[in-house]
Amino acid sequence: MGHSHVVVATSASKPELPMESLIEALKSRTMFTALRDALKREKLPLGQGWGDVVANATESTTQGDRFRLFLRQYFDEAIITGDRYVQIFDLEKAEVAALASQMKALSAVSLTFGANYPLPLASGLLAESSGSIELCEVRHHENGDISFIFCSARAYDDKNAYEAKELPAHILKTYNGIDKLVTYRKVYYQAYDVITLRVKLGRIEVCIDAPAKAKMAEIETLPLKLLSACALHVSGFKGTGAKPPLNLFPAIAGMYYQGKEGKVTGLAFRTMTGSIKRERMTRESDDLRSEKFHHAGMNAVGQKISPYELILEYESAPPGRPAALKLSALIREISSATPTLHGCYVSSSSFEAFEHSLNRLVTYIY
Amino acid sequence: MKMTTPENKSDAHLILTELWAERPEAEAGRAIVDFLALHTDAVHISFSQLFAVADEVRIKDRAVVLNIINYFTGADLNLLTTGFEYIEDETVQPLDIEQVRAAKFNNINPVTGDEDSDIGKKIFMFFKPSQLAKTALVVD
Repeated sequence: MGHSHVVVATSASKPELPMESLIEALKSRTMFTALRDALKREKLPLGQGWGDVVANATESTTQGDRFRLFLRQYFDEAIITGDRYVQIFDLEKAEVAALASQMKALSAVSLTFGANYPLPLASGLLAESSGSIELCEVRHHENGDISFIFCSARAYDDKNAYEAKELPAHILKTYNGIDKLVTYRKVYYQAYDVITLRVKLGRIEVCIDAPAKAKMAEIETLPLKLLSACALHVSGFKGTGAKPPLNLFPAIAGMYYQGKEGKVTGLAFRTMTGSIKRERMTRESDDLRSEKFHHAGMNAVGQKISPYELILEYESAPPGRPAALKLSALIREISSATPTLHGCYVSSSSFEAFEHSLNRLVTYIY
Repeated sequence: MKMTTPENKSDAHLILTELWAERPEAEAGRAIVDFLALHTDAVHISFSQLFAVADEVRIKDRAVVLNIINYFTGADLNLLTTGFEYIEDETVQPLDIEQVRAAKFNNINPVTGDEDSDIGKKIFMFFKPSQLAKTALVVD
């Protein structure tokens, strides 16, 4: 699993975790295909869908025991990986040492989420606990890095539209003969936000869970909220959010032009010949840089473009657990005298691959 | 007498060296001159593009690049002309000088025609090779 560098007492040491609930929680965090690939690597039964995963996990055989242990380990990794919005803050050496000693000394006690953790609360309870961000786990990695895992209840809108003919008469009457009724239902979910102190690299990574479910404006404010929650436990975090996160904008062009950096699967850019282009690879195995149409276009403009969005994919070693890194600035940033990008999106089921993509990214920042 | 109207690329290099001597502006300026010589047909050169050109000669200080852009858009060695555009989200629209004036002095949004107190954040500058650049820089 590429999991060996994570040494902690987490759900893997809680054999009593109900498998059905764990699989349900896993289902909301990971794609079946990713889990299937992982099962294949571990030579465990694959099954056709989530139903078979439940069946295999409840088998009372040796194989069933292996399957359950695997799922617990997989889930442990899933709560610190998945799809995330990441901001990176550089630290002074002295700050790192102070933070590390304070973080190491801490243990997590969460009143709201603690009893169920690492599993999420039932959705009814999540609605009631909306607003609180609580430290649920301190995870010590083998290389000395430390992650704080914070849980909170967040919601997204589930939108439905009903045509007039689908609506009962009294509704139509109440709303004075409307043509369409649009409803919004709040769907609550438990977010697992992570702050990792990279001790040797001297930085903090603030990793916001499931950015696709949050609104754009919310994504920008969540890292600061998380740092504030962190400062309640570790005084060294006070003031971290006062300085801006690393400006990732230079990495967009830097990583694109460095031909061997990952595999480009998406790019948005302006040309000097007066066009704006957005290109995507449909065959993810290929690199956009060497795709015929793109390659010819780049030759025609003397290899000079101004990119403002880049999606890169990194293959992992051993293969099968890739990470995708997306740097997405607004188009106006290339026209700014001070182009800025404060965060990036990382997707991976492997913590190692996740960290590798951030390590690569940081080498392009100056 | 100091030469400010170059007849070719080498003249432009010389002018920069005479004016900026050992300062990084001279190096960044020469890189931009070479870049313009290869792209005299460009219709849109962004700040980012010019930063990238300076980057190639290891000049990472943005202030240096801004100094040289300022110089090239001035009367002394006028190799760049400026243009303006309106950018909001994915909408990008070129503006004429009247629209820029209306925005700057009366806060009029050129797209909606209404007052917009945020208009200053939606108007951006870009560059094109000047007539001088198009004629002089194609000659070595």
